[in-house]
Amino acid sequence: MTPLGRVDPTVKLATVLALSLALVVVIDPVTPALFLAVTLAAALTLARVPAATIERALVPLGIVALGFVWSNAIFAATHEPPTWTLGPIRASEAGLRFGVAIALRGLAIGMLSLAFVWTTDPTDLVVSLIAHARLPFRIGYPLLAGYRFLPFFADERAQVRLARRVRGVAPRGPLGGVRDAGGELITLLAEATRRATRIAVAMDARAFAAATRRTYYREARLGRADAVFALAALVLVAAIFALSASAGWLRVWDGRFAA
Amino acid sequence: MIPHSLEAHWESGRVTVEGRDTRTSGLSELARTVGVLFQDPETQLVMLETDDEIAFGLENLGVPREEMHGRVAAARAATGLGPDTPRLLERLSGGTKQRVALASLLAMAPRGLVLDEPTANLDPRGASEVLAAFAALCADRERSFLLVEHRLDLVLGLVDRVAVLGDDGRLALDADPETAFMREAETLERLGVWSPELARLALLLGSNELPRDVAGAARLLVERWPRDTAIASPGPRMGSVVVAARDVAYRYRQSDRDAVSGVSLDVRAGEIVALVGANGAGKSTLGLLLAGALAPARGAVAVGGRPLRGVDPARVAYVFQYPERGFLAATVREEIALAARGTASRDPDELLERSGLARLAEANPHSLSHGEKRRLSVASALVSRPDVLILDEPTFGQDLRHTRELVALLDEERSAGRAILLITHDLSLVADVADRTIAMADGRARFDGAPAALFARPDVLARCSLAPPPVAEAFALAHERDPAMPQLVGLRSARLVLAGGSLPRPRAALPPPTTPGSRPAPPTRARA
Repeated sequence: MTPLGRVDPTVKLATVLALSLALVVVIDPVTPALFLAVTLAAALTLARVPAATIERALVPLGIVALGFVWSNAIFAATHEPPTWTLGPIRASEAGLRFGVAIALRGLAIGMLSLAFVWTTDPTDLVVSLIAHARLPFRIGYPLLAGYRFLPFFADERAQVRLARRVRGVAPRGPLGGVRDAGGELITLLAEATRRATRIAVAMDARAFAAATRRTYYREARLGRADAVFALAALVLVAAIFALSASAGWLRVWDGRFAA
Repeated sequence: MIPHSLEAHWESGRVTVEGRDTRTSGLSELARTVGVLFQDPETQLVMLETDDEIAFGLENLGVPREEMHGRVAAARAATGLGPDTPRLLERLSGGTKQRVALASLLAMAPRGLVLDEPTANLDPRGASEVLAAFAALCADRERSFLLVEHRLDLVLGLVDRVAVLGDDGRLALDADPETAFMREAETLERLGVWSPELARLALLLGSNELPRDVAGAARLLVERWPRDTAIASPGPRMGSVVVAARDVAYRYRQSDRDAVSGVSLDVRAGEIVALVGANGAGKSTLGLLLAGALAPARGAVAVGGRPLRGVDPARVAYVFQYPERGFLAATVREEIALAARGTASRDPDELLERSGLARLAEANPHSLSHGEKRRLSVASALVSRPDVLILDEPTFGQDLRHTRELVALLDEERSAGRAILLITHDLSLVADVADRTIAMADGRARFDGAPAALFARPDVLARCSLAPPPVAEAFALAHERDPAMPQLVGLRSARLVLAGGSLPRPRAALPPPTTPGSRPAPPTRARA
């Protein structure tokens, strides 16, 4: 297991949340860029996430980020005169700068979240949240059982579509697709309800939540490595902010929606 | 489970487990004593990984962690889950998942186990995996088992006692297997309850002795089969080719191999072709290609000599294993009416009546039982008088009565000149009704010929993870001992030969495939 994979999931989750919160108030482009660089470096070295995985993830994130740039460049409320005009489209430099900052912030938070997902085993996460974050096990375990449903939904939806196609259902008219989705949804929900009931009975049959004391097969013990990780992350954040502030890059949101 | 987990009205009576009333005992006490293995492996696993799953019950009972590791390892060993078993449950086959579910119960060290059709959702390979694990557990006689089962031949040697529930929910019979399956055979018949094929074969031979395995049945055959029976060979098929697939291939997105890879096949009018093979061999995909639901990546499918794309979808009917996926309407009547397009369609009410669904005409299709859903699905497939009828696992979860009705219906539809493709794991059904069998493995057709010829090919059977039905095995073994014995494959042909008839194959000239507006097809076949 990689160093990041060994860190307790609750500690990791809390750290990611804290870092994301710190990023939310930043509106300059350089600070999030530094965050992004550090996150990528950590993912590549401390978690040994394959570069190809990161590249694949960057495509959708990048598209969303470009959307931020574009919409802010055009729609951001600024008092400056537009820098570029193209017919009715007027973009300002300040808006563009703000857009780039928001986009990088989104990328940085997105990459932090993905790094968490890539390095965390879902079972470990639930067991750790039950042990350290007071997640009731009556919620945690059904969540895990539900997690197994996700691939089922995709598969079942494909099967339902095939079945409907065999029955000669093809979307007709402008609302045909919507009507069709409604029919599919009813079938999917009926099947999902049936499955959920069966799983619940199967869990009861194995005495889920029936005994007074529950034990755990997986250990969720906090160790020194977890403290080291949390501390290192905080020091790193402080260092980035200090560097950014001393270089004059740092800008923090002051409550106005203007650049 | 009732009343703790499933709400139900408790009419009367008392159930005790080790002397304790189940209504007043806690679920944890009960689960410690009796484990339940459910039918569907997909809806009883809770965790994501094998060992977590096996430990789940132990966690719920509050077993200390140090103790769990040993109990998980012991449960794995008892169910044959070796170190090469994948860690993630999603990577396991159905049979292995079912063994993990069994291991998770064994880890809790129950005194008794209830197994609710544990192999019904599995392919033959998975079923034999689970039955082997079950047989190993029975060997030491340390636990009590209650096995709910339709398919009895493979467990016949393990069963001490047989309890039969009637339609009214009352206990109709409680006896040793010999009494239940041989002396009370008429009672079972009347109730529409499955009995082992080998028992029915023995009865056919006029024996009172219940053969416990294929060897026993073969011995009976050698002793009792009349050697002077003439076996008329089936006549030539008269129908023309209705479905023609040439070198079709299909690959699902996100897959690195072809689900169907270069398969060619013909199905003629008035012919029943069975498509068999393990799960994942490509049977259903091929069925969907022939039905036009999937477009082949390579090759072509023609129906009635025309490319499938230009064929009216109502000419090809497909009955899904899980029919609810294709339901479109809010009531049973509408569901059939929706399928009744064109002038040649049958009267929906008549079909409702025949399928035993008339009283459910206004019910929501999703609210029906599995058997009813399937009959509705078959009825909506037949209403447009299709040229081609494709059925995916038609006997899945059906009792004896409905399986018999299905066989009669298949005969009728065959006589009406329909080209019929059965996708099935039920090789007893194949032996009884199929004219031809196509065995698939890894997306390819590995065999195309008569069922009897398939059962005589151990290499193909092994490759496609198939096992011949017990009656076919018994005849094969008997033939080995006495070459004068015929090599029949199914109970139905045995019954017909003994009755002096011919093999169950239409010999009369068949009518051409029905086309819209043409004559209605009269059901002319005499019932076996």
